[in-house]
Amino acid sequence: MYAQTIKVNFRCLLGAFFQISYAAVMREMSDEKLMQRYAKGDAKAFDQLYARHRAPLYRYFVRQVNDPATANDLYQGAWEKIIKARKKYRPASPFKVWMYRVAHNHLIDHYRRTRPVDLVEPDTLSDKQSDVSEAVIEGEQKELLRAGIRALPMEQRNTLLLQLETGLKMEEIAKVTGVGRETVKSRLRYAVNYLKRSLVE
Amino acid sequence: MNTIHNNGDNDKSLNDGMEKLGRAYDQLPNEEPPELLDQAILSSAHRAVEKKPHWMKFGWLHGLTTAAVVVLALSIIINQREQVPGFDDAIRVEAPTGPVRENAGKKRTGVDQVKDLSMELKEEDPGRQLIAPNAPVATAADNEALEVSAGDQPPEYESRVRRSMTAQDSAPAKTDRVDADKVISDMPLEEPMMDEAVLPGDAAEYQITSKQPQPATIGAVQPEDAVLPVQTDAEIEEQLLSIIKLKQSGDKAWISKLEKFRQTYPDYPLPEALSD
Repeated sequence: MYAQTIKVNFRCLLGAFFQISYAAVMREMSDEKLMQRYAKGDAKAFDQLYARHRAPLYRYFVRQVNDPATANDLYQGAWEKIIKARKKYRPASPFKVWMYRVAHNHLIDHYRRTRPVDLVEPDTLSDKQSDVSEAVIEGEQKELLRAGIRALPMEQRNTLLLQLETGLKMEEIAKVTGVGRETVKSRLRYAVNYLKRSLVE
Repeated sequence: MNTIHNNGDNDKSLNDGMEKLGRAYDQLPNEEPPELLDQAILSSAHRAVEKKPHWMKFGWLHGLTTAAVVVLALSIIINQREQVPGFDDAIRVEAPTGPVRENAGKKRTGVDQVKDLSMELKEEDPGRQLIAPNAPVATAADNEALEVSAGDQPPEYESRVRRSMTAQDSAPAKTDRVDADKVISDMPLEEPMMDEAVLPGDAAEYQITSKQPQPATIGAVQPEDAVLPVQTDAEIEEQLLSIIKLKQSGDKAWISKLEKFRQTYPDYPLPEALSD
């Protein structure tokens, strides 16, 4: 009786030990390795990968679109695409770049479905500045920033969010958005200047 | 939370602006996906890499095959159910049950009838003899041989044999044959069967015994070409009766007639009156 209990407990302990050590190994793995493992059928690798990127990717969508429900749909849709395209992933490019490229394309598809892509430059944003003004009246800097980001044209907002949320380099953002590095830099400069101006005002 | 990369440019204003913006951005509330959404995505990811059994990859094919097998099996069962009642009906019509069925497979020949009659008489009076003592008695084996030989022959031969047998069976009608039971009941039991007291003028009575040697006659009919001239037992018996009458009248011609008869029918058993 006791021997059996000890045997069962030992098995539980052994199992727990292996799980913990496996999770520790997973934590130390790079995104690329995890994605490769997931592509080969290791679901635990995806769990780890998901835990790492869930919040930034969600915020990327939430701050792109004003509607939380739409953001949820976009977020889930982006992950579905990542899951489906798991075998197409090549570790030559960083996982984060690949993942945000999938998310960016999903977002662009959404914009194309709902409305034409807004490519208006900040100089012509007289009407959108009213949103920022309202936020200023409220006196809350956070809301002001949120409203300022929302007021940015889609391409600038996208580039800025990729920079602020994911910490990608300009070259990587260029790869994600499919434009040149100088274009990314230009968009960032426009966006920063606009927000600085808005916040000061 | 976020790291603003120094993009390696000499654009100091951009880098400063990004750093300040980054600090402000970090103060924004950190929205996170709802737990249900997490679960949905994770379960979807797990389902995607679950190893399915090989047959499940062709689920539609498996279903189609199963349906086809079921339809085939049902059609076979239904077909059989439709056929079986008809078959049973046919059996019922062709094979009667009870006593009729018992006698159905047994053809009652004239030989059998005489044999039965003889047996009955023996039971009543062992001293009485309906069949001529020297007559060869057809055994069961002979009857079987007859059946088999007739059965093995081609249909034409079989039909011919049957025809001759039918002719023999129907012969008493020509000779005003009376019912066997009636004849037997009218017979004086004390007197011997083949005595002239019984025979004269009553050919039908004698016919009962004279039918006994039929197997020999039928057995003689073997090859198709060697069919005997159709001469019924009644005619033969008439010849024998005429010889007996000649003998009784004292005419010596009966001897020559008997010899002629013997030449024609060497195997035909003679009645007691002539067997001397």
